[in-house]
Amino acid sequence: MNFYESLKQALESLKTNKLRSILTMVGIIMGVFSVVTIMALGSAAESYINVQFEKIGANIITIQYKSDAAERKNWLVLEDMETIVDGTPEVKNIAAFIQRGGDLRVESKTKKAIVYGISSQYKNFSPIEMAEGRFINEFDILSRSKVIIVDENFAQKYFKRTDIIGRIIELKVSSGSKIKVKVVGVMKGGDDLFSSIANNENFPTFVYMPITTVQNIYYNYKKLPSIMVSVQQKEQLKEIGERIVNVLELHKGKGDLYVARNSVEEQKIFSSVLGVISAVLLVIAVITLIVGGIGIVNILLVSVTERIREIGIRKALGAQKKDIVLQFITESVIMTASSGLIGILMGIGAGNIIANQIKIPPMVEYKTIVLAFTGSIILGLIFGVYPAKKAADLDPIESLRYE
Amino acid sequence: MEQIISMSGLGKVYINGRLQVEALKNLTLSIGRGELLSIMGPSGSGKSTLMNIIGCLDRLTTGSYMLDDVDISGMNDNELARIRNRKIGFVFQSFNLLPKKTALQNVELPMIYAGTGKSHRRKKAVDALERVGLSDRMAHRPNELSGGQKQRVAIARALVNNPSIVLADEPTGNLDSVSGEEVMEVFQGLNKEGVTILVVTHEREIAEHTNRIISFRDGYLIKDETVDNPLDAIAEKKKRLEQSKAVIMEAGEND
Repeated sequence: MNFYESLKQALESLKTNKLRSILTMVGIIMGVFSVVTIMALGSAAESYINVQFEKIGANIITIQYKSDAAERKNWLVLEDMETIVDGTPEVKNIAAFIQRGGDLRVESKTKKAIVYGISSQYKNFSPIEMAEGRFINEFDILSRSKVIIVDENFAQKYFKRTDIIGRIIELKVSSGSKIKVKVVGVMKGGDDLFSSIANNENFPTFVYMPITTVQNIYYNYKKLPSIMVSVQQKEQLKEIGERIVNVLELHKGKGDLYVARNSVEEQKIFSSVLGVISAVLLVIAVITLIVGGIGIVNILLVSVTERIREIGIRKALGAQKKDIVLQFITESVIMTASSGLIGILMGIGAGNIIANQIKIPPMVEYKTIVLAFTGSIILGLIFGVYPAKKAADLDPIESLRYE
Repeated sequence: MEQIISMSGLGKVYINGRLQVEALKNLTLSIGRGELLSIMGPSGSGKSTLMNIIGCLDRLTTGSYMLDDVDISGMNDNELARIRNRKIGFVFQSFNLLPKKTALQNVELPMIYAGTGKSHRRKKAVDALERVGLSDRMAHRPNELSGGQKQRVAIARALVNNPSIVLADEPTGNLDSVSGEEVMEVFQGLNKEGVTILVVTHEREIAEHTNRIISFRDGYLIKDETVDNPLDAIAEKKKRLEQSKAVIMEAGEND
């Protein structure tokens, strides 16, 4: 019997038991669907992270404390930035920021805010696009100006327009004291998933102010959580980081205080965490697939039992073992291959929807598709073998007598 | 006469746990080309075992079996399947047609396993159905056919690969007497065209439609007789029809 004939036979037999075949296929469809979706999500998340890191730049060193309980004299302060620049000629940009909570009042309305106090070169580290006005500059820092940058969505909501340069907002800090600040710039609101979460009513808005001003209103608190440095070339991030730590520790007169991290290392850590999560999810998806496959074995075994007499007739008429094996394996492969196709299509659909939500290009790679499809066919072969062998080994005389 | 089947010293032992059953004992038998013969015997006499061995569904334990001058005894499963496909045509008591296929598709089945091309297959299947007088029932499924028609589809299926011998196991067992006569009529007609046919039956009357009757008991061949004047199925059928008409009329008068 040739392949075309057995394909026809298998399709006929699957059609006879339509509902049963479809239910069996659902198991495989779900398995393939999860595998494709998870692989798509994994590569989407990775590329999202890569894009974010590229925006920041791959040549950034962050100086942090080695232990959380640093003494007051060992705090990183704004003056340390000069020490770093003086001691390390490779430094291109240097910045620091602090982060505090507060309430913004516009007339009678109040909005929770997270206030970033930033130094003048901060925008070189975190890309900020302006819609109106200007960003915080060196002069603002030196003169501790009471200026603020808000985002478009905030402006739209509380002023009904985005062109609000020069308007005054009242900032109330947790201690209860209030200051009036002038809007000098409006940032563009993002359009990705995270921005839309941030636009939620209950979510605080993000605003930027000069770091010196923020330090002033919040009890003159000088401690910086970290200092960020960017360098020209990204080859020697590790060595330069270590040199900066040395320069600082020499300045403070004490060793073992700080540690330098760089963006390449951070990206690696992110990627490996992501890899672990994807791998765990993939294992779960593969388990789903195997459970689906067992469903196929099960239904084919039922089918063999139901068709013992048919198998006997076929054998009496001259069917060889390989003909019977081919017939059942074809049925199995048709089920898994078509389930695989449906699962892949659903996975591509889901991948597109999710990619659309978090504003990244759809990430179902052709490699994933090829892998999922050949995988389904191989599954069909594996799961078809046992029932097919069982059918082929039936004794023709007994089968013909079977009622 | 040219020999199609020749067996000598053939024995078959079934081992069922510790129990050994000798189903056939030291059988020597020849069947010539073009014969129409029957095998008779009560159940357990060994006639089904012989049928299975001749049909290459089962293997012999001792002795030798030549089919068309080919030694069957040493063959493996695949070779036996090929022999069944090319040289044997089976007709069963319970028809054994595939229920979801049409008469034509059922007749095509042996040719699928023989690797016959599609158009040639169709043509030969149509020819075979015409030979058994079913050219108007080709697209029907078995459940749309009467018992006699089903058995004639099965005969067409048995004929379609031009086998050396047609083996019919109680072919009239599930049929009323008129349909049974119809089946025997087909066999007698085919035999006149030269087809070798072996009928296994326990009904003496059916056996008397053939030219030779071989009787078995307890695994032994006990009688091998020639029938001088075999019953003519056409005449018998007429007789049965008249009888049943008479019965119906009688029943009508009694009402």
